[in-house]
Amino acid sequence: MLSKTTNPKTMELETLQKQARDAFNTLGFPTKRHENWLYWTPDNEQKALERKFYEPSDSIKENDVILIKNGSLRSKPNNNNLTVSNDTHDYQNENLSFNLDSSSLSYLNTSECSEVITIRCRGIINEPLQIRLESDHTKDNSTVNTKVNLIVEEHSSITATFYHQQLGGAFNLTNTSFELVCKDNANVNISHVFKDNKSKAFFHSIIHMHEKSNCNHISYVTNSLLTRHDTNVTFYKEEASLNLKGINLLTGEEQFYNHLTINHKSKNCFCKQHFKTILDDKSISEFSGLVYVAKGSHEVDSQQMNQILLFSDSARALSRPQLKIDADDVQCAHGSTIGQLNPEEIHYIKSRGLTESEAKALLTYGFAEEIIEEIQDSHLKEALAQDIKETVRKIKS
Amino acid sequence: MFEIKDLKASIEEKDILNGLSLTIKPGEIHAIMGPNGSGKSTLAKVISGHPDFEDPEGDIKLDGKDILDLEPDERANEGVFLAFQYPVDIPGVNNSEFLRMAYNAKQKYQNQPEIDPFDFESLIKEKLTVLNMKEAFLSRPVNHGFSGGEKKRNEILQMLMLDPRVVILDETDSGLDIDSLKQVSDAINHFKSENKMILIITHYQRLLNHIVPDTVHIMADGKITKSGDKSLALTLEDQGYDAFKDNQS
Ligand SMILES: Nc1ncnc2c1ncn2[C@@H]1O[C@H](COP(=O)(O)OP(=O)(O)OP(=O)(O)O)[C@@H](O)[C@H]1O
Ligand SMILES: [Mg+2]
Repeated sequence: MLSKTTNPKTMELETLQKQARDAFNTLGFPTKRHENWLYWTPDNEQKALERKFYEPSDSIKENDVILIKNGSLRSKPNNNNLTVSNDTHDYQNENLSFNLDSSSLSYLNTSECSEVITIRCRGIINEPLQIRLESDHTKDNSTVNTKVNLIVEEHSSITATFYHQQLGGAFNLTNTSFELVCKDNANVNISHVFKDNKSKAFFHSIIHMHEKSNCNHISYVTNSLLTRHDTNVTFYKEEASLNLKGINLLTGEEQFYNHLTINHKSKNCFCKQHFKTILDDKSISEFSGLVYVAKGSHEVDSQQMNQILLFSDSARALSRPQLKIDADDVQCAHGSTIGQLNPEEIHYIKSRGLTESEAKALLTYGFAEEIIEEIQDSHLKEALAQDIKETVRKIKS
Repeated sequence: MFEIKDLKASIEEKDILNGLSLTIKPGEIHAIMGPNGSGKSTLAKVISGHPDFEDPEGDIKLDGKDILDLEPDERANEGVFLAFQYPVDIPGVNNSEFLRMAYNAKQKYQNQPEIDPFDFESLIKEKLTVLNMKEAFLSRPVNHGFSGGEKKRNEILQMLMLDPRVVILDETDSGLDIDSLKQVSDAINHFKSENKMILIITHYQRLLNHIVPDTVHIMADGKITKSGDKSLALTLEDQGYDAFKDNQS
């Protein structure tokens, strides 16, 4: 295990990696001993360490899109408000955690990543920035460990969409770590899209909220074999505001695990967490959310809601919201709902001339609309609406 | 012509419609009055094809075509419209977008092209004026957060937009204030024409002062027990339903 005195800021990457590797070797992949993984045991991945996969990039091309393939930076845009690099010096003075205080999967990421990619925004970026994280490793049990940081400087503003795309197979794993720093008065709109992934995707998102920063963070998972999100948020200073939202559309035997930890270390911050999951067939979704309000963090407003729409009796959903409050005068609420489409509503829509499947698509869209509406990237917004229609059309019942 | 013949429907083995027959000719307005629970809304729902009522027996024909085996959307596109007693709200679905989809569904059914968005816009504005409704209703989710009366008005807006041949108004007057009742009645009278067939379900004679029916039916225990002209509604108001109990059952 890492000692408390470890300070990633001053450490060389190699030293960090060695420590992380030792920690991972001690812990191994998470099992039921560490956490309540009820449906999946990662035995198959035990060998993953031996089969890490990456292709170092020799040159970085210029392109509108930031492309990160198999963990290494391939292209970046030419934008005065943006620097993108895989140079270790670019993050060394930031207070990044390097996942050194969290789960074994993040140790694995730190230990095995081939480079640390840092995107820094200074100024205003209006056009949605596209960041593609692709992997195409196919060797059984091989792992791609991608590490990306996004640092949004004081008074800067950015809208960015991350597309996580895996072309591997069921025995491949991508283990991505994303660290987001919202500095004072930063304004950040981030979406993470996990779509059409045939291999397992683990995604660790670490979010640092500084004074008066404002962030909308939306995740969207669809048509993906097995996805696990671990999101850790820390509020350091007052008046920061974070909206964490997600839409998940699962069919077949797809699985989605969503784990949140929200750490309120400062008073007077706002955090809303709202997830909507649509489940068909034998798909599985698990949600666990811990909101921790530290001593002295008064006037924190934290609202958590996890909503499930079931299309099938064989789908399973598990919801575990938790609150741990050590401060006074806070507003914290959490809840979860689970339900099916209302037959009266379906009939009402059909009675106006729309078909059964159009009615269901409309209602399903209606279920997710609240979150879709908040997506800033208009291309993504449209694609999402289309996906919902397509998926619902395929639903038999 | 809209014909219902010997219609029987039940739910959970409980008979609700017990052989109901009714014929409405083009241009006619009929009214149905009857005590609570007599099956009026059930009749309306069965006509619309509500899934709660499985395999109703009898016939429902529009211009000779049997619609009882059609899906609810097909019935709608054939020109049958039900203004629900309790319109459901659909959060997240925009009202005018919904109307446009419904409008285009009918166009598609009739092998017609989709309506031009600008034409749709002017059409809907025209109908809003008829109903004295504010444009703000268009951008809100369907019936979501609407007051009781606003929901009823929204049903009539849908009716005007979809321009159906057969209309069943299930207690559209309940929940409307005096002025709204007048406006909605005017809209229905405006809609009335020689090829429309209108069936009004109501508890109140008052509505029939605004919309004058050709025939008034009294319904009890899932059947029509008496039919007459508009004066029947007045007699009913005087004497109550007891005077019209079905003697045969
Ligand atoms: N889904 C259902 N399940 C069980 N019973 C039902 C159902 N729908 C209707 N009923 C019953 O059928 C009978 C007729 O109901 P219906 O709603 O048609 O009455 P109504 O004449 O419209 O009454 P009201 O004047 O109060 O609107 C009632 O006894 C009602 O309880
Ligand atoms: Mg009724």
